[in-house]
Amino acid sequence: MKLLFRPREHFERSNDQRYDLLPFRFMRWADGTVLLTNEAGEHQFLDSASFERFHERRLTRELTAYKDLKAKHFLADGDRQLAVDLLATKVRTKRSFLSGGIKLHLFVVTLRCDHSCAYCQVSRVTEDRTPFDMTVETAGKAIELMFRSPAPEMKVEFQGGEALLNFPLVRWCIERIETLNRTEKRRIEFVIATNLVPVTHDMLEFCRAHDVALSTSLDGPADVHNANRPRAGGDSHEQVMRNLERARAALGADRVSALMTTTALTLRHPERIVDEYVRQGFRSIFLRSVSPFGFAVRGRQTLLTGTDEFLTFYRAALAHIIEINRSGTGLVEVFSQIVLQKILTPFATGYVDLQSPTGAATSVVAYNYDGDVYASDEGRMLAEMRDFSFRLGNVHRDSYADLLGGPVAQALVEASCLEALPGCCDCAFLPFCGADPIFNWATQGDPIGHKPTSAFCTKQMGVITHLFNLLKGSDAFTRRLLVSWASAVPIESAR
Amino acid sequence: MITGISISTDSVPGLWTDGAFVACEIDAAIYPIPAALAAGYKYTDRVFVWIQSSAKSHCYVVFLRPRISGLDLGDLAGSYMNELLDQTLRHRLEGTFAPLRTLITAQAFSEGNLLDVVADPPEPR
Repeated sequence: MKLLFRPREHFERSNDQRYDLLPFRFMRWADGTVLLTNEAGEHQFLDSASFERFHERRLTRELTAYKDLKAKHFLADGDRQLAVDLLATKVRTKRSFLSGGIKLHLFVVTLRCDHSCAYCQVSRVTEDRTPFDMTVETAGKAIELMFRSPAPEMKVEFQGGEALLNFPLVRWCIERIETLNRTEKRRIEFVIATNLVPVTHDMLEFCRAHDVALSTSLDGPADVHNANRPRAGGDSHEQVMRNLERARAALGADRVSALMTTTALTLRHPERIVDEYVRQGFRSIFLRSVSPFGFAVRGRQTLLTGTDEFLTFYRAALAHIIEINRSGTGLVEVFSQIVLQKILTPFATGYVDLQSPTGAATSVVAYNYDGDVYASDEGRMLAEMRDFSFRLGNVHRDSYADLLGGPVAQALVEASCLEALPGCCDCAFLPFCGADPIFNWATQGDPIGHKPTSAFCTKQMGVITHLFNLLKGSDAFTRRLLVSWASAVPIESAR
Repeated sequence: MITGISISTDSVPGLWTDGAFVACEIDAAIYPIPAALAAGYKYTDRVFVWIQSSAKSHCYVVFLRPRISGLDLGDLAGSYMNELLDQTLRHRLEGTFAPLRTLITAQAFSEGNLLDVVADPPEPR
């Protein structure tokens, strides 16, 4: 009789036949388990004894852990070449942010601002100093460079100072880009970062007609916000509230987002800040710590937050956000969402501040008002402090290749591949983390940074550890909520 | 010979302290030096680390001096040795993983198939 199928034994290998280990990193957890991660960002917790058996190739195949480890490509017991090929495909997907060149183009259209925020990262100048405005000639050159990027999708963000104080240039840029894009045919998204105070009916009409989104600042309820963001009259919060309504009415609620900055002044108010976002109808909040740049450093004694204090604030705010969701009001914490996407999905995120190599000069550039091009917004902030280490060149002098293939860009990439950095190369959180050589330079005087004393590393480790603890040990609702954030689906659909 | 401290050659596993620092004599055949360096790097937020050859062949000595007060030197040495165990395992695994990591990364970003060039030859230029 002809044998149609090979016998079962053919497909089974005996338990004493060893499997191959595929590359992984590991970290011991406080509860005695061990976290394993691999190149593709898969993760698996094992109890300590199973971990020892696993790396000694003594794990038996009937165990669930064995099957999980095989499915996630921590081990291969058959065709190792196939496993490597599949792993490579996962790595390519996870690192898809590397293709396409510069996707985020920041136009600093003016340094003028009507606020005097003590933590200002932009080192703003007063409203009447027009020499700090970008000119049409400079903007035109920046737009030419922008279209040298091969990226099929790009985001153009106008920043300041207060970007709307130079609205004629913003309008000119958007119209110029739209004209050129009739032949370029890229998908381009426009965002204006604004404190909303100078916004007029005409500006909102223009934004509506050209599908421009607005990103504003809201640091919390009035007392917290106004303490962080002083202006003449002391009414920043009131102005934001009034113009927020107008902007939403003109553009739609989903086209106006807000960011908050955590300073030493706001650390004591995690719940009140979250409640303010809910009260104002936002569906998301981004818990950001103040950056060590610009005026924040000049006033660092009072404004910069210690990393441990920020993490305490973050955990309290996140706990409150989870309870708000439990009560039926949807609110996403965006930084957690980005990290969860890295942990729980096979996809790359578009978040340029948490990439390896760094997003600076690989995914983002900033065109300053004077034509200088910086590797990122933070590089530009350092320049305002007279440190030009991350200036790539100038739009009037340098080509796209000069800017992005030059020594500054190369040095940034070299200093930001986590796989080759001390303290990072063997860290199990590597697939979920990123490098920030400009932060390291600003805080430690070295683009690679000293990880054991790095505030960036401490913060990332704290956030990622907390999210893993929530995924591991919290109630079913919390786990489903976090999965729903990662996969951007309603919590009812999250599994 | 290590200057400044008195070494008892018959002590096992080879831990000394003068109250300000702790020194661990380590067998390089069991714990390779790159593992000691990696473990030491992780402790540089808490301690000053100094590694030098021992008078014993195949051994080296790790000195740990706290940067902050209140650290128990015995706990410090114990926790360093546990870290050294993990770093030794990482060092051993990485010997196997390094070429695989390179192959996976190369394959991920290659236009051709590096894993089977016979079955899937590159397109002629």
